Amino acid sequence: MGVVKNDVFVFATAQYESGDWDSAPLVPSNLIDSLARYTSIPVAPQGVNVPLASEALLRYPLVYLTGHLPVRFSDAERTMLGRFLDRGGMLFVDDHNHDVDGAFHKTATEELSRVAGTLAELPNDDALYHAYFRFNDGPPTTSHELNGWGDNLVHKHLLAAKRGDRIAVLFSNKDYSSEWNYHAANKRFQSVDNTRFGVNVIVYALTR
Amino acid sequence: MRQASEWVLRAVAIAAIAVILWRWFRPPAERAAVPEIVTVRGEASTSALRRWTGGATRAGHVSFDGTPDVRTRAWLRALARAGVRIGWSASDAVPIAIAAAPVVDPAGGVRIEVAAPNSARVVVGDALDMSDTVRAMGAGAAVTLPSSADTLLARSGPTVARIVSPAPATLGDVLVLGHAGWEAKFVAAALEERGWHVQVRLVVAPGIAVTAAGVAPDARPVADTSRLAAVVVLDSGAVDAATGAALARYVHSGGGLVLVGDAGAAPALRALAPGAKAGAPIPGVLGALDGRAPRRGLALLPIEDQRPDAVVLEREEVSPNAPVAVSARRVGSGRVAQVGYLETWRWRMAGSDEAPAAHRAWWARVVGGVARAPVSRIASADPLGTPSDPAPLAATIDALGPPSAAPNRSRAPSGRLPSDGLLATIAGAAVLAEVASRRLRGAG
Repeated sequence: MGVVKNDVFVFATAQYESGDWDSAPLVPSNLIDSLARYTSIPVAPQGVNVPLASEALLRYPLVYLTGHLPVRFSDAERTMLGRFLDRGGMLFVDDHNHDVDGAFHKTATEELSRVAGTLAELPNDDALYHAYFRFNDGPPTTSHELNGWGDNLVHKHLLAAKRGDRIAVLFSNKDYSSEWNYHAANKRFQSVDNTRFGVNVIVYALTR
Repeated sequence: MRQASEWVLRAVAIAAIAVILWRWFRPPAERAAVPEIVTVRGEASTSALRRWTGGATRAGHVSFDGTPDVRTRAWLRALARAGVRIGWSASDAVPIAIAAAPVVDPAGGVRIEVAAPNSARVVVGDALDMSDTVRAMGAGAAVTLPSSADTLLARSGPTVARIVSPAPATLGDVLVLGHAGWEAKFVAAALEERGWHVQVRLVVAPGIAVTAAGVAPDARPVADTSRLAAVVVLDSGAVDAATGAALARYVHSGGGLVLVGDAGAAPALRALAPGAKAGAPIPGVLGALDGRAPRRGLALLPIEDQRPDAVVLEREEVSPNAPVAVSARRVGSGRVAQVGYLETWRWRMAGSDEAPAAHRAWWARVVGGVARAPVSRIASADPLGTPSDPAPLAATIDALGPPSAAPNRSRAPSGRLPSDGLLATIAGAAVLAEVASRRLRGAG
């Protein structure tokens, strides 16, 4: 027999065959901690890793995907991802490299376009930016962007593929994976909690 | 002797002539009416009706194949009221009746209900397409058709009932109240995809809710319910006392309310719920979500202690004693449905390929079943002027009285007395016989 659940949010990280899908292992616990601190949304204390080609993907309507390396989905992963998005699921992809036109960006956007359609710039007044916290200037800049690494690469927009007026795929080049890949306990050293935008992504997924 | 027989013949001739004259000049009510029997096939036999209208017909009997149309019936009724004794019979007529109501759904549609004898075969449709055949079970049957601006017909045997298609329902918004979560997201999504305009107020933190406009304080009760067709409450914690009172007033004044999961346990909503309490949670059956009965794969809070006026709409399985999954009741002018299933979103996400559409349609039916949907206008006739005739046999009986047997054509219509022709013959023969007798006698 199955189990009676109470609509608890479970943070899911996509496990795909190519690339380093587990490059940011602390992101889930950090966002789980933030969600629990800022909202009353029931959240499972631990996240799960779910294979992109597995039927289990359909149990987690919001999935996070990241990596540094080129991305090539298998046929099974493409098929399952298509089913997931068609049924109302949302995929949040973050390029763990701070660059543009890099290998992850090129390959991941190509794969996602094949499954979800063209990724277009998301306007900075989209509902995502006031889903919980208010970000009047669009996606918050990460410390890596501000550092510049000497390249002054600040990405002003996120990319998105929509189903109607809902975001189905959210693609970020801002390297939130690096930004959020620290232990939640270290947050006390920051004047402004930089995981708040992650809370927005989750609340947006749960309410739209 | 001869003279006596001549007197007898004269008396017979006079008597016969007197009877003929009496028949012609007696009051109309004393005349024995001779019903003219007319068999009507298909359209009304207007020539017979014209004859009866303008002539001296005192009685008529009409035998119909089915039932007369509205115009024929009105004509016969007028003749009856003018003093013509009208009898009728319709041995092949079927007692059917048709009613139609708009489907409360943005996708539109018309629900046709037909009353007919058990096992009667009834063909329903509009004037352009009579293609849906239903068989009456018990007292009737129902079928849903796409929206039609035409006249709707139900035909059984030679009897045709007709009604003008109703105007589409006027739909307001649906408000979804609950805590932020997958169920709220997917219920709102399903209704939006179906075409409803959905408002949400989803609690994300104490005192904070998410609406279409963004994050807002949660302390406000439901404001303007006048534009709402229905409210869906997803959990008991989403409704405070003020909101509960507002919802109760809304339902009593005609609004629709859907209580999901443990929403019926909210103190402010308990009195509205069809079930007085929720039973122990029942886990979903593993693997059932993509099967023929997908909702068996959902966890369920069974609805127990049904109120006397509650109607059970769905059980966990097809069995009269199975736990109740959906029930409904009327409250004041409104309706309340209670859904015991938990996390129906799992059916949409993990069910079969048809699951998203099925989930959407199921939620549309639940909400449509309670939604307030006033009809803004009532059409009384179709553009071609064909009047409605929703219960033709009943209307005929109401207009003309019960059917009667057709009279026997071979019987002497005037009872015991001979006909006028025979009497005239007798009178003529008696006169001739008397004259002949007098001539032979030489009396002149």
